[in-house]
Amino acid sequence: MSIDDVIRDAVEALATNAARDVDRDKMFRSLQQTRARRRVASNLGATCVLVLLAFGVWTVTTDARDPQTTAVAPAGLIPSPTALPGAGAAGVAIPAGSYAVLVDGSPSPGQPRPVIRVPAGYRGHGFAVNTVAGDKVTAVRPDDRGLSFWAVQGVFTNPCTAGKHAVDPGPSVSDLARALATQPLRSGTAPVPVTVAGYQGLYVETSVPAHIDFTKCKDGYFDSWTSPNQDGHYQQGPGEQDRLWILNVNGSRLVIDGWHMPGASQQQINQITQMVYSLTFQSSS
Amino acid sequence: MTGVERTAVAAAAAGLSRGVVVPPTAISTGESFESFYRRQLPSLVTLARALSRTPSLGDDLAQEAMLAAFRRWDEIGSYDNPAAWVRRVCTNMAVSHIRRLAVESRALRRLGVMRTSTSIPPAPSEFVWAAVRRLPKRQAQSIALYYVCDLSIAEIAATLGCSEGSIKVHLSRARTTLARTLGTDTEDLT
Repeated sequence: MSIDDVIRDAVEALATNAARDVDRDKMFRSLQQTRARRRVASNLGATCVLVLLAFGVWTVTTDARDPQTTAVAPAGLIPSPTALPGAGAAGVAIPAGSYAVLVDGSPSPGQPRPVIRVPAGYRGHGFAVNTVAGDKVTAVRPDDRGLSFWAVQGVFTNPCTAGKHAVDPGPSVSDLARALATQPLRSGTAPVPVTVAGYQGLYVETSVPAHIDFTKCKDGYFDSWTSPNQDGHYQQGPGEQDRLWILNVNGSRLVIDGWHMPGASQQQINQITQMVYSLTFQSSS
Repeated sequence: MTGVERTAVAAAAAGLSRGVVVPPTAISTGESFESFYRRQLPSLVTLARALSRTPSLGDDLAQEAMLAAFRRWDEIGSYDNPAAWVRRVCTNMAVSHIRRLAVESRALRRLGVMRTSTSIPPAPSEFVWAAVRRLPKRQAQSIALYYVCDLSIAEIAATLGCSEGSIKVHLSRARTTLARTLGTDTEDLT
């Protein structure tokens, strides 16, 4: 018997035993639990470091000040996953990771909070992530892209014209999907049922005309909708494509806008889709 | 009429200019980690067990390698061959563990403490894997990847980051050592 035969026999025995022993469901659950435990441990470690740092800063600053001055409160705990930073207009560069998003830039008490996995190369805006390096429409590059989370209130009768105004689309997911799909200048598609993170809704694609001049629109913006906490949603430039997932999350309407400029590659567009389908929800506390 | 066809008719009636689209799905943009895990787990467990002292340790090493991929799936999942990455992590973990055990064993011998042997006689195949684990690191990894994962010389080279020539040398030397240890014939397969 050659050594080759001996090893192959040993492999067969090993594989038979492994196939008998491996319980994929059980081991996958175990893996998820281990990951969650280690993430908590990691966050606790980070929290301890932050608390110690904050205490150090507090000690140094209070030592240097009038002893009658009220002490500065230490930094708060880091929630898990990380809250998406960059609520300011220009946003901040964020490392790859899981982030809890503020829908429409404001906490929604009683509603689960969306959590997405963001790859490297994006900036956080509190309620959105994108690749735009600035807050001006003129800063947008041909392959810029992003994802934002909205509570839509009104839909503009026309995104560009001088007489544009926002109207209430109605309360349901289908009301809003219909209003966005038929919005002038947006070339909307028919709403199609979709499920994301276990929540049902409708999917619509819209676009911005390729040769439109935004400077000729009212106020210089091409607007789609208004929301309670943001000025409203304006598009970034001609040719922009918006993919909208309009979900019913426990009776509350959530709009996820995955947008990209016409120069984005299929791989870059896929990144946006992957972020959408990485969505989970964190229970509110 | 299907649901989508009905939607298309409704879309036409509503004057929608772009008709019906199919929403993207997670599957269309790359395999989910769970799918990858379920597909690759049995072969990874077999690989890890080949290089581990006990089956349970092998299972733990396979899980650790999968966990490393799980944490960075956004990045790992976009690789051309995520399975190769996980195999490399797994075999590196396994040989590191073997080396730690060897150091621990030498220390125990120096202290005059001997491990008690198990009362259950090992299966015949276990003599083979015990001999594989005593091989130098790259030789043990090459043997495991060649026989357990059924990889080609080129695939093993890519997995371990070596040249194909060095993998051939590792395999040849490993076979010679194993044949001598296990008392069998060698056979040049490369």
